Amino acid sequence: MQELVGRLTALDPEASESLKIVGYFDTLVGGQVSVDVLARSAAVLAGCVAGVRLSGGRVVRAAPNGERLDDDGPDGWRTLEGPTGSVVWIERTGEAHTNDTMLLERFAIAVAITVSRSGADSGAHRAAEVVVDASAPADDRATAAARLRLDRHARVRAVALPADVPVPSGSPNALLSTPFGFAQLLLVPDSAARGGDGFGGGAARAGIGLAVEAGRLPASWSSALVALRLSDARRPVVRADDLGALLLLAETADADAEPHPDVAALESLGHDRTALPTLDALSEEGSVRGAAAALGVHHSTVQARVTALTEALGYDLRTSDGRTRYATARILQRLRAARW
Amino acid sequence: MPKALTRPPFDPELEAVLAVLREQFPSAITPEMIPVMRQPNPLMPTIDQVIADRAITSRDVAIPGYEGAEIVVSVFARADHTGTGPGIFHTHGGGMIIGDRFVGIDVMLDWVERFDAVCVSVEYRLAPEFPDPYPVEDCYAGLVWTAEHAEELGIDPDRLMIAGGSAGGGLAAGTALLARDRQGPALFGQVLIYPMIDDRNETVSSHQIEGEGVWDRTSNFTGWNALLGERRGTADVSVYAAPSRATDLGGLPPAFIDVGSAEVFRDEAVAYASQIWADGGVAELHVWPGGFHGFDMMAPHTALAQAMTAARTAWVARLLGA
Repeated sequence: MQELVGRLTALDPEASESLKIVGYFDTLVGGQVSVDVLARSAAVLAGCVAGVRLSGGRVVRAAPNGERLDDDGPDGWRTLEGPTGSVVWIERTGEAHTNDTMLLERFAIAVAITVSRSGADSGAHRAAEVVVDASAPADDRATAAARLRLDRHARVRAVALPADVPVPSGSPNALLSTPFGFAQLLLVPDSAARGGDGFGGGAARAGIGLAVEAGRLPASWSSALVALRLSDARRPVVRADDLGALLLLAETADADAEPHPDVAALESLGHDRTALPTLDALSEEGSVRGAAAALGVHHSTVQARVTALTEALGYDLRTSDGRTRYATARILQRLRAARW
Repeated sequence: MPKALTRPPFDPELEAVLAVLREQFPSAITPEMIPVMRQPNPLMPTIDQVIADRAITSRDVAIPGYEGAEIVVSVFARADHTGTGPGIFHTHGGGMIIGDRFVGIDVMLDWVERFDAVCVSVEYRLAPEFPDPYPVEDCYAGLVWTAEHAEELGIDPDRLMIAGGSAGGGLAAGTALLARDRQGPALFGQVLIYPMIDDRNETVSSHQIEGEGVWDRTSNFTGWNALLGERRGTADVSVYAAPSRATDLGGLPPAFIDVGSAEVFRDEAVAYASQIWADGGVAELHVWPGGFHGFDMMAPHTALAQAMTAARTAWVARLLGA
C-alpha cells in the first residue's frame, strides 16, 4: 500500500521543489491552521526541527515526526524574520539544502498571515479581508467597513504591496493570498494617497487602486493588484488611475484561464532572452534604428532579430497597428507572469 | 446519482501533504498501472531496516495456503518474548492487487512491542492472477495454521485477533466471517482499518472521490474487477469476498473500524458497523473528519493521524485488558 499511499518525507536536498513548497504552505494557510501546525508541517518537509518565535515571545518548536519540542530559541540556527516580527528557523546541521531558503520564506509568510488573523488586531484584519472580497455579501462588507470606521460616502483606495515590504502602521491592513503571491492590503483615504509617493519608499513595489466608496472596495483592490502586477524595478509604484482602459482589458483577460493567442505567442518566446527586450525597444522607439540605439546593439543585429520575430508573431511592429497589438499583448503577458 | 458529488473537505494539514505527494501517488489506479506499482520501491525501507531499531525478531515460514499451495508468513515477536501472549493475524493492504506481507506492518509492530503480542503476517496471492477466492482463502488458511501452531508461536489461542488495512481490512472481515461459519479458529477481535468491503462501488462516498485523494472510484473498480472479474456487482459474490454483502453479522468477535470522511470506503465502513449493531454485536467506529484513504501512513506527523493511531491502540489495549 505504500505504493498507493506514500509517505511524506523531507524534500530532496538537491532538487528544487519551489512549486511544491508554495502549494504546501498555501494549502495550510488556506485551511487556517494554527502556528503549531505550521511549525510541524515545516519540520516534516525540511526533515529537521523547525521553530517559530512570535513577536510576543511565544516559541513553538517541532520535530519532523510532528512531536512538539521544548521552547529553545533560534540561537545559532538559520533564521528569517517575517513581516509581522515573527522569527522562523530550521535546525539543520551540515550543508543547507536546495529548498531551505524557499521553505523558510513561505514558512515566515504563512506565520505572518496566521498571526495577523488571530492577533490583537485580528478583528480589523479580518474586516479588511472581507471589505475587499468580491465574493462576500454586500451586508458583510458593509459591516466590515463600519468596523474599520470607513465613511460610507468618503472615497478610499486599496493599496497592494508585496508581503515583505514594511507597512506604515495605523492603516487597516491584512495579508492576503493572491494567485501572484501574498500581498499586503492597505486601505487609505483618497486624500492621503493623492500624492502617490510615500508607498514603499524608493525601490519597493506598490499598486495604488482606484478611489471608490467603501462599498466598491473589491474593485479598488483588484485594480490595485493589476497595478502591482505591472510594477517593476523601473516603475515600482503604479497607479490604477494611470492605466486607463487597460484595467478593463486586464479584467477580461483575468476572467479567462487560457491566454489570448497573441499572449501565448509572447510566452513561447520566453526561452529567447533577447526577444522581448528587442520587441519592447522596437515598440517604444518605433524604428529598428531607434531600437538598436536603445539596446546598444548593432542595427543589423536588431534587423535580423526583428525579421525573425515578425515571422514568429505574425505581425509587424514597424507599423502603428503592429505596435498597438504588441503593446496590448505585452501588458497581458506581464500581468500573467507577475509574481512577488 | 450525479457524476461528481462534493466531498467533505480534506483536513488542511493533510491536504497540504497531498499537494506535495499528489504527482508521485496518483489517485486513479488503472489495470495497466499494476505491474509498475508492484515494482519494489528503492526509497522505501526494507523489513530488516524497519525492525532494526526495534527489539523485535522476525522469521519467515512456508505454510499451506488455499488448495495446499505453499505460501509464506512472517512471524514477528519481541526478542524477549516468552510463554504465550496475544496474537495478531495480519492481512496486508494493496487494493487486492499489490503489496506484500510487510505493507502496513508498522502499526502491528507497535502492538507487538507494546502488548508483547506475536504477529503473523500472511502473504496471500494477489488478483488478478489469483482472483477470488484465492486471497481470502489464503488468509483463512494462514489463520488456521496460526491457531494450530499457537503454542509454539507463543500465542494464547484465546487471545488471537485479526487485523488489516484497506484490502487487508476487507480480507480480515472476510476471514472473520469464514472463521465464524466454519466454526473456527476462534477470534478474539477484528481490527478493520479503512476496510475495502463492498465490490458494488455504488455508495455516496464511492462517487465523491474521483481524481483526487488516495484510491479513488476508478481505483476501486480496478481492484474489485481484478478480484471478481465479471462477477463484480452481481449476485454471484460471496460475503467472504465482499463482507458488505453479508446480511447477518451476528456472532462475530468485537470489531474496531476506522475510516476517513473523504475516502471511497467511508459509507461501507459505517454501514458495516451499523449492521453489526443491528445484529446485537460489539463494534467501535471512528470516522476521521477530512481524512483521505491511508492518511495515517502518508502523514503520520499530523494531529489527525496521531489521533487515529491512538484510538486503534487504545481499543486493542482495552480488548486485551492491558
